[in-house]
Amino acid sequence: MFSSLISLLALATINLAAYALGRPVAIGLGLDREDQLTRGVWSVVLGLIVAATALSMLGLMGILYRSLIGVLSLSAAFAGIGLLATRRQMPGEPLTSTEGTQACSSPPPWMARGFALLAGAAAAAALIAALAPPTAGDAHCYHLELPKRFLAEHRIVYLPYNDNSTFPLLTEMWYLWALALDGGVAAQLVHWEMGILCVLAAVLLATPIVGRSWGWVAGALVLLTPGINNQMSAPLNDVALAAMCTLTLAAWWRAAVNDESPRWYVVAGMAAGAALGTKYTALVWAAAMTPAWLWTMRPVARRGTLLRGTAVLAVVAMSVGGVWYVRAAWYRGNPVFPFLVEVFNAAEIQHAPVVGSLPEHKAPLGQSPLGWATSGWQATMRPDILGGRAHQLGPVFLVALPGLLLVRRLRGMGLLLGVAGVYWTVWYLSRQNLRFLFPLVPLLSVAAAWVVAEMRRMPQTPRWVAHAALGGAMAVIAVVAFLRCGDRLWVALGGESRHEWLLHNEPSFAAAEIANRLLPASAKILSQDYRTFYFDQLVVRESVYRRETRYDRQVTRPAELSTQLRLRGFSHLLLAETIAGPGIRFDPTLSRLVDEQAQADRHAIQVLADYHFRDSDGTLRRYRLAALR
Amino acid sequence: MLLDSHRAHFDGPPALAGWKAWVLVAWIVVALAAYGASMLSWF
Repeated sequence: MFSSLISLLALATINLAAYALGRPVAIGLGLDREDQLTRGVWSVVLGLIVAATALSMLGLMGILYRSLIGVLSLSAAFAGIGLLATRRQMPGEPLTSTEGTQACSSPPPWMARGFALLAGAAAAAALIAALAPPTAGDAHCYHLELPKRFLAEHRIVYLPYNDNSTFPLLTEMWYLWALALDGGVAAQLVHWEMGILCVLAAVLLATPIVGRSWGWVAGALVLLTPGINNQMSAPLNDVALAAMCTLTLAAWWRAAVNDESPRWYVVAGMAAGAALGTKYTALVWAAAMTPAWLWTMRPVARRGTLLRGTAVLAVVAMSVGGVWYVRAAWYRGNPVFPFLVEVFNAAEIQHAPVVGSLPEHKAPLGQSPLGWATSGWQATMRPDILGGRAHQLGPVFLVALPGLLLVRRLRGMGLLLGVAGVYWTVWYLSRQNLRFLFPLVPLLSVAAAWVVAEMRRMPQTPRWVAHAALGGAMAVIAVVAFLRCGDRLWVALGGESRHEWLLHNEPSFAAAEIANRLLPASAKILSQDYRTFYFDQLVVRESVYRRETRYDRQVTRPAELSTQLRLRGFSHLLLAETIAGPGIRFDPTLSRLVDEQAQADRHAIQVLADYHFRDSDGTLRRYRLAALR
Repeated sequence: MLLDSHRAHFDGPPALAGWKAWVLVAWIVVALAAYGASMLSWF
């Protein structure tokens, strides 16, 4: 329990510090006259963006020290407490109209309470799951591994044998912050908070369209999206991207659609920069917003203002998020590596082929007009072929959104659906993975909330059938979220230590623990497994190293392997083999070479650990940690 | 409806027509049943 409280305290420190950093920015951008929710959300979000930018600058300067980050964070957190204690509202009415449309009254109390109960349960389930130590594969090889490495090296280093090391890493700067203050659980909690910010962003986006009260319904629908709820408990970046994309749209809406203060373009630019700094997918989002932007340009009198505002938005966005693209171009010769390698890295990929940008197996629904028309159905019913059930959108959108054809028109809804439609089409034509659809969830939630609002105008009998069916579906989603976190409840409450829990749930943990006890920090491990977060030493992915160096072809005699690898700077090996079950298969090249060498000279490699691990899906793996002699 | 976003908020009758309501309810029931069946097939 104490460990969980410390992690929650680290999250609170990050938020207080972000508030202290973001509040002056928000005031400077004229957000002081907004309502309390708008002010609060933007103060924290702008502060988080400023903090991530500051951390990336410290990293590029080579002064990423835990002590420095700790002192700065605590100072800012105390300043945040002071600001909260002395906060005051500017005189006058809030600028935000929380009324939205008057087309429909607020949800009835029983409905509002029901949504709050189910969404609260889903958020609590995700929080419990986030309080267990991280075990997500992508977190181990990328989202947590890179910031851990940067902290160890005190700078944002380039890792040539990690394809992810030149990705946009703004979200990972938040994780680095959490790692510096606490550890992997605090980083996981940061992504849980991104889910909450995504909910609040949906509320802000919905407010000018359906009003604040139905906006909360839209927010609840975001939380009750299984993929979002599930990923809130893992330190990845898709939910963070969804939050930043939605905030970009919400701020842009205030400036370009509602014709409010042009300062909203600066706010939108900062959020867009954060989205660009989080994931390349933000570029698709920018493309999806283009038709909506053109739509707002129809009145000739507004074009000058809109063009100037858009230029400001673009400059601010590039200033915030552009550094990661420049870094990728500097090291890889490609600002969006490993995408578009056919364009930017044509010569390199001839001798070291990188997986192409848009391989056919990434489009399991095909790419035809009929496939596009049925993709909504397929995405709901067959998530297992589109990246996995963990990322599924759930049934609510498929069930509710066709209702838009039957309900009243609503100002702004067409524009919102236009953005969603373009994004969906680009997704369909490129990489059909459901988690890349997360930025659409808040938009679809606003549309679904409008359909739910319009259900109040149904005759009584069909209205009750519709409410019961939808309510039942959402209750099942909330219950499943709770069942899913069941195996983490005990460790989250402190009934089991994180160490014990990891020994049972993280296949690489036992090897990492032995390595951390026996090996010096300067050791360099060549690993078949990519789950390397719990290792203190530098771990190099064998598959990428082999692709880049073809070291295996230079081992002409089995007995040479150990010598060859030592000459290349490696001191140890982590061998991982899948013995049985459905889990990932590791390339066996290194295991084979090691076994051949062991037959030729059994003293050349000393096995330090050799164990089997059965994963939750039944997969049986063998791990060996070995020293090269 | 989809692109006509600049129409007034209030165009439309005060109550949703009965046939529209039943069409929507039928869709909801069919889609949820299909989703439930697909979920069960995963286990």
